[in-house]
Amino acid sequence: MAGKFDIQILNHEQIASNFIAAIKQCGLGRVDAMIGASESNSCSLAGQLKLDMDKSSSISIRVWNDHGAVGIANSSDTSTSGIAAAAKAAYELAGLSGNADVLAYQPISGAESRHGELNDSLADINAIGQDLEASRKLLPEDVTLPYVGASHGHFGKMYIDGTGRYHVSMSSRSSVYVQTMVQTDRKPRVARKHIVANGYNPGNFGVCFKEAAEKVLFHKQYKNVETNQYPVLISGRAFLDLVYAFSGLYSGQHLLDNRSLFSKDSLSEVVASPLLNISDRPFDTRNASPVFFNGEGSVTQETAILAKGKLENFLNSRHSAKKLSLPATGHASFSSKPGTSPYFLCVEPSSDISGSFDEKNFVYVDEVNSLHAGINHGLGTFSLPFEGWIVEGGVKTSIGAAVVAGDFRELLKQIVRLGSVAHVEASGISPDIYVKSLKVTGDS
Amino acid sequence: MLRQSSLLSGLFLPQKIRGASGPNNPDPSVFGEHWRDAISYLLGMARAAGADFADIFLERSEVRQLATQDNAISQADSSLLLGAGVRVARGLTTSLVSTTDITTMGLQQALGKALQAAGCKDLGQCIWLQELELEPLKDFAEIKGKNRWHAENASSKDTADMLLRWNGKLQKNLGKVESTLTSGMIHWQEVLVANTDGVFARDIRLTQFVRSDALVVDGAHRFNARDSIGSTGIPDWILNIDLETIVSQAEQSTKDMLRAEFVEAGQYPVLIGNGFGGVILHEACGHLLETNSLLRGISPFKDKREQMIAHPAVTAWDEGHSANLYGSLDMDDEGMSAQATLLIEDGILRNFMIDRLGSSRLNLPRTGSGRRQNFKFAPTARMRNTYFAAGEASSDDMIAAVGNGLYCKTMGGGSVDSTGQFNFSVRDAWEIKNGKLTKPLKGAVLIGSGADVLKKISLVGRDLDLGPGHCGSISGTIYTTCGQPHIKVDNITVGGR
Repeated sequence: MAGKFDIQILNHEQIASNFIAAIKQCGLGRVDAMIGASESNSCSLAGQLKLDMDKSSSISIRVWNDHGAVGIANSSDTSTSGIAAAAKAAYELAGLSGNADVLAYQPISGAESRHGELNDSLADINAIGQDLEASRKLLPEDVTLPYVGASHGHFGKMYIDGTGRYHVSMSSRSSVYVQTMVQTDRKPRVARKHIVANGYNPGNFGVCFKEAAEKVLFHKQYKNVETNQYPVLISGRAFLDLVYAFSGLYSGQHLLDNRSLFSKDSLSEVVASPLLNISDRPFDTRNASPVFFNGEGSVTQETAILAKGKLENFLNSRHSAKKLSLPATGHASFSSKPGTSPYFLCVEPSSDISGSFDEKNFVYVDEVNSLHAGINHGLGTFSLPFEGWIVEGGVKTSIGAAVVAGDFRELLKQIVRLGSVAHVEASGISPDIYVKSLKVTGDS
Repeated sequence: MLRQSSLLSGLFLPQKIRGASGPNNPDPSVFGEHWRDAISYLLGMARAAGADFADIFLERSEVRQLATQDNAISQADSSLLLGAGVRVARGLTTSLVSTTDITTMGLQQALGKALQAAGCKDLGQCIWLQELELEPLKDFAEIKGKNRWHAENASSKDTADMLLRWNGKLQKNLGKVESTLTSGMIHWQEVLVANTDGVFARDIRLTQFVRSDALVVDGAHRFNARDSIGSTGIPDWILNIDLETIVSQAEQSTKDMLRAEFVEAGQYPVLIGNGFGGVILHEACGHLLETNSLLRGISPFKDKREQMIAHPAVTAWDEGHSANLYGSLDMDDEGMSAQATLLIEDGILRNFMIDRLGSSRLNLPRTGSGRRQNFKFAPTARMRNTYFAAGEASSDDMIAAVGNGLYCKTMGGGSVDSTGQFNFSVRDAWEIKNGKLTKPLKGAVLIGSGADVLKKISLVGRDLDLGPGHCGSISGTIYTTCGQPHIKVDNITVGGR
């Protein structure tokens, strides 16, 4: 796709020229680089008005030495001299090891590519602040705002190989995050809403404030839940958080590193409910942060991960695919041993049912928190605080504080139904997920 | 000092037209006294344009990261960063412009944007430019002999060799090791801070961190033996790590935990282990005592100064000056010398952690806690080395006092929401039955609220210990220390399977 570059956030031709001059000056041939550039305006209200403006660029340069070992150096200086200094540092680091099991150098094999369009202007910082202030006035009186943030940025990314051929992409992206709070007799209650979108759309402010206000008002009346096993309905967003948190399960690099709980033999095995279809779609049109090429200079592609509950693919870089004798799927971070994480996960909605679910008595998990602390990757288990509600006899009541816990692989098998509507989130798309039973611990 | 910049119809003239009246570009390869003219000129402009406060933060840093897997180096990275953050405050508005252009003109453009965003006068409307008189340079790098640190810290080769030795010892001692990952980080940073209060200060910091993760698998049983250690200010620290002790602890932890059962969820009295167990103070209380929580009006402690907020057994500190601790710093990122801040004394809230702007807006004393990840973040009050002070109880007495409950020997990470509702994962736990440790348990998470849990700490041990951590908040990710002796919490909710 040919893109328009009316607004230059990333001067790719100049940087390509600097890069070639720098590596020529250093006498390097097997080398590539990932360049990022951004200009962003952000505004937050957290007891005070904070306005942040940033314009920066950076380069990560990867150098192979004669033994095939790799070193990487990053620099905020993308001039010829800055790139040359980084290239020298990377070359020195490559000299540390001679037997490293790392990615082999390979120039871009297909066509160069340019993606995305930048045909909007960067939103003025004070205009963003005014849009926030205007939306704030719509809030009910008893709802306060511990934190509100909004931003608009232009982002450019470029991969270039040692011959000077490159891929480049541009995007314009905005974000609105609203946290609302109400006081109750016992303790304050909070709710959040976050919208990420292509371009700058002031209309998202009102939506974000409205939903965060409605949610926190609902949480005003709450109860504590008994510790027990419950049927659990997981929101699309919370389910995506879990699938990302356990992405090591279906990572080819994790498999190579003996860190995945799946094995190569798991391919084509049923590892989840037959209702479940999950794919990774890096440049889905609903993805506000589309990814068109990866850290190996390969173009990205749609990849099926689970189809009718069967494990279809591990996510593989060129490097891990070769080691595992599996197909590469276009997943690779810019590293000496590329990581293979998903870009934009899509869970298919379904009208099929594979088991019973008591719709009048269950726990709804709206949002899981503290994923950095509550996930045990080695065991595949989770124990996570969540926000949500309990439905008893068809009546829903907010839960004060609780933890939901279980084994993620078991959870995948215990899915008895999927929602018919796919919710679009910043990280992917998913319907709500009906799980037969999970342990919920209530805080009393 | 006042300096007339232009007599021409009140218009500000760009530097190239002003010629000799403007300062030249300082040498960007080192920070120091030669930056005085340019910075005082820029800060004078900020004041002339109506800023209540402005500061300029210059930063140069180099981060080396090495990772090893089993017997090979898997990653060798280096990052170089050079830039500035220009901050302006006017009324309740604060603006920050970050830039990688640290020429005088680049900084001036950043300042112009920051002033405009904060609602100050346009620089073009300023007839008189008031050059700001800065204090004599307070050069902590020079005073403390830090200028040689960059050259003296461990080479990448020696660091990699040490990491590989660590992997080798884990493989040899733990048995049935599926894989070992060990990584090291050496972060060298030079900063220069100046502000409209006249502060002019320079420092060099050297922070090092190493973590290891050995995955042990025995049939269906799996356990990750993890450890992390860190320091500041010792160039050859990474080469002198006591591997014997660390690997021996990992060995014991693996023996205990590999076949551990899952904890039963419920309400229990708990004994929380010393060292990084202090994450409970950090999350449950510390964040709620920072400027940001107070300005947002959400801290349950906001109006509790000089009031009892904790059990009388509890005394807590946050300080930046203990030698070589992971959260130590000679000056904060607003140029203030390190302080020790008594947070809680015998259960009474004594102080908050306050940054420069928070001090003006809350009328509370500064505590040298203004911190930022790098020049792209505005500084705000953040924790440094935060710990419960030692008490008098012995561990045995405390286990006996728990009776039937849980011993949370090693804590993992945690988090707190804006209302003080916290959660922590427990890495290694033991059941306590009839006042004795009985069996290891896994999968526990502690949840509760900060204001409640402080009142439930009824016993504090003698064995204060500390552990390094990384804290993420509005001014980015910073290096901190958590610490405590063993503490007994009378009742807390434990999540489990």
